[in-house]
Amino acid sequence: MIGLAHYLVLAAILFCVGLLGAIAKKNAIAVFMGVELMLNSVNLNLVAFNRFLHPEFLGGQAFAIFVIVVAAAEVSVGLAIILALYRRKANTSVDDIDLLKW
Amino acid sequence: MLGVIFFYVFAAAVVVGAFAMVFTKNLVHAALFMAGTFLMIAFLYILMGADYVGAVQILVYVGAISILFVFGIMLTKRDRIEDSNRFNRYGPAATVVAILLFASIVITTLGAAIRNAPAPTGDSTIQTIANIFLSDYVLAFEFAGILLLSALVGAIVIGQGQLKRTTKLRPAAGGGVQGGGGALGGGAGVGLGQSTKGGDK
Amino acid sequence: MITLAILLTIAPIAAYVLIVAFAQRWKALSAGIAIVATGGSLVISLYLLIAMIGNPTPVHDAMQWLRIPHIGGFRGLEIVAGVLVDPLSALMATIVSLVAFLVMVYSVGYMKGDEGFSRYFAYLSLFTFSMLGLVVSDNYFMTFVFWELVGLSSYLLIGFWRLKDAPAEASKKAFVTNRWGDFGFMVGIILLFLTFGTFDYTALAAMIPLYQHLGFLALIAVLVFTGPMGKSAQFPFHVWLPDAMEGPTPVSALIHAATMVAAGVYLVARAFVLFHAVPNVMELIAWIGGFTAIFAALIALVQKDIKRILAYSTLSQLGYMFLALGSGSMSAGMFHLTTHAFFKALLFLGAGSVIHALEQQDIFKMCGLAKKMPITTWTFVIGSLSLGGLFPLAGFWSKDEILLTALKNGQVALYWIGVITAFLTAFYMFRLIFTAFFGKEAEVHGEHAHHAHESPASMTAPLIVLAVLSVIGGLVGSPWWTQWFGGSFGTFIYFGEPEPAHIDLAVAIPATIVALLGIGLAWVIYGAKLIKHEWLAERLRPLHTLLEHKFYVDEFYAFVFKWVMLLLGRILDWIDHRVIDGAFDGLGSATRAGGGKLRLIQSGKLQSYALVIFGAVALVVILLSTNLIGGFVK
Repeated sequence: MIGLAHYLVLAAILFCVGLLGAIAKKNAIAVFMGVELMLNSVNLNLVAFNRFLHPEFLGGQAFAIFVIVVAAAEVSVGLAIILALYRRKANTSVDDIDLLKW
Repeated sequence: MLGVIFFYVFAAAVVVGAFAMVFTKNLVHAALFMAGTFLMIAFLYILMGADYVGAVQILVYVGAISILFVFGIMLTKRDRIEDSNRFNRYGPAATVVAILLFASIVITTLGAAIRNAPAPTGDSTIQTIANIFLSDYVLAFEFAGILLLSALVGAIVIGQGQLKRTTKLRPAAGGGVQGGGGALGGGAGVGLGQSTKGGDK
Repeated sequence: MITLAILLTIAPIAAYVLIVAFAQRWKALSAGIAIVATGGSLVISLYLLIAMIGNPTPVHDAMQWLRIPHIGGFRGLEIVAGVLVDPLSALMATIVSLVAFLVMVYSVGYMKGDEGFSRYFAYLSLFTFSMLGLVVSDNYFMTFVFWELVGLSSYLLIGFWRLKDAPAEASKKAFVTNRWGDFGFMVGIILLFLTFGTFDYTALAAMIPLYQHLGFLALIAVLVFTGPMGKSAQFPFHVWLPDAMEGPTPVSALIHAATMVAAGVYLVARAFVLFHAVPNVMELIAWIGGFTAIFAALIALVQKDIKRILAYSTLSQLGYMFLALGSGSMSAGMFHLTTHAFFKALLFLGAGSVIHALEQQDIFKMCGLAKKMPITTWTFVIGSLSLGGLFPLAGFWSKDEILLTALKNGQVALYWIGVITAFLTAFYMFRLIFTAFFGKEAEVHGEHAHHAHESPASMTAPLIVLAVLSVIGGLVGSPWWTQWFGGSFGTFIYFGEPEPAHIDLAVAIPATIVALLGIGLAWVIYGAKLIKHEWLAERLRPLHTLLEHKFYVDEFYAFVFKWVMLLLGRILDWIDHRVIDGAFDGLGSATRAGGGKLRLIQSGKLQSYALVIFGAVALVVILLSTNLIGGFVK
């Protein structure tokens, strides 16, 4: 039977792949995609925990929806920032953004 | 039994889609793989009985965010799209870290004793979630609305750029980022104010 | 009683704070605050003294101030702050507050119109506080703290006219010279603490007699004694006191005659048990005292500045006190301290009155003051007679007791030194009086003398009070006092056995005769001018030159400073700059270079940060879940 562990491992795979994308990609949009993937793996966890531990109370699903809301907001603002950066630097490579340097 | 087969099919699709998204060299393809992955995840939600979350996933992620990404790619990309999705020099290190993290998560997960609850009844969850949103989580629900509004305004302010007289984008971008942060923290009014202020400059 | 003793100390410091914080603009208010506070201290100390005479049991209370527990090899440190009221401290507190009070009253007239009037009274209050604190403190540590405070306030007061060169130089000299003594004192205290594990006078008094065989104790005693040597300006630390006369004259009366320099004597009396345990050190103290007594008296013979004569006289009298203490009589030493405080304060204030009137310090440029300033003149004469040791004035009784002590304890040589010093003392004091107060007016070259006038009442009143005390103050140590009241100074303050007052004619008569001889010789040379002093100086040219240059001690110090200290300083400076600074600079630049390399980690690239963060998360999770892994395998 499919249990919580299956979903958790699946979410872990998603998370790590997303992490790889977020850390190791050059293009800012690809980095963003990685982050979205990580968010989705978290959502998957939330829903799975809800389903397999407390199916009678749907708090986990509600949280998943909140995460989706925040992710939507984040993507809209984030892409706007990338657009602004692109206008300024004429490319979207993350390597060129090092304003946090000493 | 059918559920098991469905799970493995969808899970395999999710994993393949995710890997393909990260490892493909074409950014537009990556966006498509991402949309597919999100769709498969939505099916998994439905498989778990979370039909409303699945629907939202399809609407928001597959329908909106993926499209937004494609727009973003099209607006910013100007050299060869076939080679737009490259790894940087952190690739090997990131792979090691990702594997380590995966190993640690899996080990802790499998080490824990889990008692799976029986499957819930097949009723739709939408009514229950609606009840939760308007009772237990009503405050968070309202703030989510304000957050979306401020994100909307922030995205416009940051994104409009050249339309304004100023060509300097940095103060505007800064204001927008701050506004977004403020909104995430729950202070939507502050974020809004700062965003507009940054735009008016 | 403890509360009173604390109040006694706090009153002057409260005055100091009030003056500095609020009253600085209103001169009269500043003086008023200081005088009222010191008057309060005087009343309290008189009460304490009377209470102590009634019941001489020491009252002691202390609270814990600092405690470092016993850790391993470190033996721990416990410092208490406490108050000890016994006959000795009650007497000393009374002297201090009495002289301070009179000096403050006197200063209202003397310092009139000085722009630093308020500051002056603030400093005086600070000094009074430090001195009273020193007197009532119950352990060496507190004593040392107040000892240093006394040094500081003395520095401030000597250099009160800070814009002039000479006072500034003198204050520095006083401070630095005292530092030498204080350093030894501090080392002595530390050794004392390391040996006995306590600073407390009472506890030490119980312990030290059990450790008399300890050779180490002699070293401690000598080191502790260097403190009093510096503060009481004993040879070879005497050089600062004459120069300290650059300060305002009332300050000289308060600090450099009656109280601060007496602090050294007081400390030796307070720590008498320590010195008493080491006879050799007692001998040393006695000889240093005796030597300083005659040495300073000789220098005083040829000085021309009225305050310097008094300064050297003070040195000489302090030498007397140490002679007495070293000969084993704490009673005699403290008795002389008391009487000396009266008549030397009187003499200084009288000199201040003269200087105030003439703005002139050279005794050969003043004369015939007796007619213009009668009160000053006659009180000054009383003070000089008392200092000279004429029956039945205060100085007679105390000096007599000192000489008697020396003779009784077999210090015959010191006895003769004392007698000769008595002769010299009478001579130089009356040299001063005959020249300055009774000289012929025709010989005056200075034009100030013509409009000399008596000082205001605020200045003469303290003179009269002190003159009365100089006359009758000695009676407390006379056999008559015992007859009248059944006790005397020696049965109130003593170490070991009470010392009932008695008078030995074999000592008293020669001492009186030599004093009269001194006065007579002074009259012959300076009064009647039967022998011209210029002619005498010519005949004794080498000796005169030697004395005029104060035995070349200052020159010797300057030489040592120039050739030994500076050379040593250069070497140490080189070591400091090259070796020590080099090491620390190296440390600093190494840190900076390391930082310069390390900051490259901060590349500003978000992804590298994320990489590190998640790598760390993975490591932490793996580390935390090791037992979980074990469980899984099993």
